[in-house]
Amino acid sequence: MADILNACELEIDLFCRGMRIDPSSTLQQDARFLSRTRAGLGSGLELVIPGDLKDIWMNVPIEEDFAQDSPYLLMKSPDGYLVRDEKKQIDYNVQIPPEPPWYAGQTSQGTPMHKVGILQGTYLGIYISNSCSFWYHSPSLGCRFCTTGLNVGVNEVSNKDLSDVVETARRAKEESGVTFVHLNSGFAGRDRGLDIMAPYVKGLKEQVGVLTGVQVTPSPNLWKYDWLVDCGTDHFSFCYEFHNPRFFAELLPGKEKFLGQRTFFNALEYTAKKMGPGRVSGEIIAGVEPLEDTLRAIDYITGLGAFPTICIFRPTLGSEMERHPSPTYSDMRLVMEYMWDACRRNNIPIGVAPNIEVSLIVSPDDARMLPKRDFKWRMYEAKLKAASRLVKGRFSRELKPHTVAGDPNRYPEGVPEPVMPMSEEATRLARQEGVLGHPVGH
Amino acid sequence: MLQNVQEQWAQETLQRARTEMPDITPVLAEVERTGDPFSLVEDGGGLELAAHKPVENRQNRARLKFFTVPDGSMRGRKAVFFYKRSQVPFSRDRLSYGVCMIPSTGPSPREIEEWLFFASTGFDPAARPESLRQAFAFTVPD
Repeated sequence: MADILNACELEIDLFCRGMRIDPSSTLQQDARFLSRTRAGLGSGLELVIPGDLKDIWMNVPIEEDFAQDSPYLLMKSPDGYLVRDEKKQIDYNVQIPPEPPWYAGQTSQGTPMHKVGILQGTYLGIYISNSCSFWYHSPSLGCRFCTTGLNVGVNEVSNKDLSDVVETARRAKEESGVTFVHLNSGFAGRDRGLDIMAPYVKGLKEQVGVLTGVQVTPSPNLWKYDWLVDCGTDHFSFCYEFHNPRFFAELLPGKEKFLGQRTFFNALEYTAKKMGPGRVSGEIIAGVEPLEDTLRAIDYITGLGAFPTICIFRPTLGSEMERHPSPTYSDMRLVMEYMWDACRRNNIPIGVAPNIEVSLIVSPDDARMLPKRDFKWRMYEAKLKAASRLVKGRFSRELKPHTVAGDPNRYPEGVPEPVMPMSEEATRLARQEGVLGHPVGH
Repeated sequence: MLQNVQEQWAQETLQRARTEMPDITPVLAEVERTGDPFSLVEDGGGLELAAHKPVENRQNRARLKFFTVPDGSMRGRKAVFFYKRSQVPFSRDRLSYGVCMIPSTGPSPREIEEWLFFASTGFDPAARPESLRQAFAFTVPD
């Protein structure tokens, strides 16, 4: 490792090693409060690392035990905050994003807005439904790395009301410049995930005017994705976490039992084909399964034209994998540079949406700082600039409240009867839609 | 063993807790019986215990909070909440490991032993109490 890291390298190392906090830091006045939501990845401290290509937003692990052994120490100097690598005696200037005023606000029903949604980087993340059904089985079928089931009722309100969501998003847009609201939910039982999301998406489009993303367990009823798009969804993400089927089965027992890895792939392939490059994400965790499986996942996701969302494994407190080691910097740097190159090879438009900085992952946009800046790099940069200009008008329209055609309370006319995941009907429907064409895994 | 039981506020807290929640009496007796160090938490609200047996050479951050469920279908039931406090002074977050409901007949000696052992291990996933509910749909009061 070079002695001085660039902003993205520092981001990766901080994800892997965490950070301690020096008593000189006055975070109570200066920072956003911490909230463990969204599977626990948001348990850390939001930080901005200035970089030469862009500022990098990240959520640094600080609560987990491994962070106590980190060489990195957050300190406050008269000139602002810095992260000191105590081992190498190198200081990095950083910024601490302040807590937005609306966090202290309440909705008209009296719900604290920070219990409805929180900023994760520069977007608003909202965990919509009452926890994840996997957690209510005995023994729990929750994903082994996840702590979602541990949050609701402790740190969050358990049921998100539509008007609360709309009011919070509106304040976040007005005061924090939020352009993207990401709606997330755990397993809702049977095939209800998209149905639950539909009214929120429409409400956000018509009453706030923001880009919307939906992340729920996949549906075998692929027509539901068309319906959600009609209701206003701009982006879907599919957290299949592990590409290696053995790791998928062992570490995601609920997803294995009720959905199966193939259901994720079917939905990912269908939506990627329908919506076009960069409108769909395949989400995986790096640092647990063998490295070659992670690289295979990146090839698969980007090969579909989808956006790779790669989380560096974090052994969050309370999870089954709390005592699993955090991955190494060298492995994760390799993964992230590979991810950038896979996006380049597949012409994935990265960093073109306005003001969307994701703090929980190393985004492909962040990873632009990793490769050698050669001809290939410059060509891709030029393409991305051109793509940004092309889509500017579309984003500007999307950021105004507007009517959407879909009816969240009724399925469209003529759609087939909903089927369950892993059923023969689900396989037949997927084949009919032209997916199931990509052999994956082992 | 309860380390700070001699302090005035601790005595008052214990007295109040025993009146409001008689179920904690056998818990306190078990704390005394076991050699593992615990202390009462001063600003815990209700009755809260902190475990102090070091875990892998690090400070043990485990806490047990005894409380009455304030809402939902379990309203009025007694429970014990297992959590860690944030390492960041300003954080309002509580890092939950779940709850165990206390039976109306009071906890069994085995349950109490499991709760305290779980805390002493720093909430090792392998030492989870049999009746631990990781997901629950009610509020744990501050």
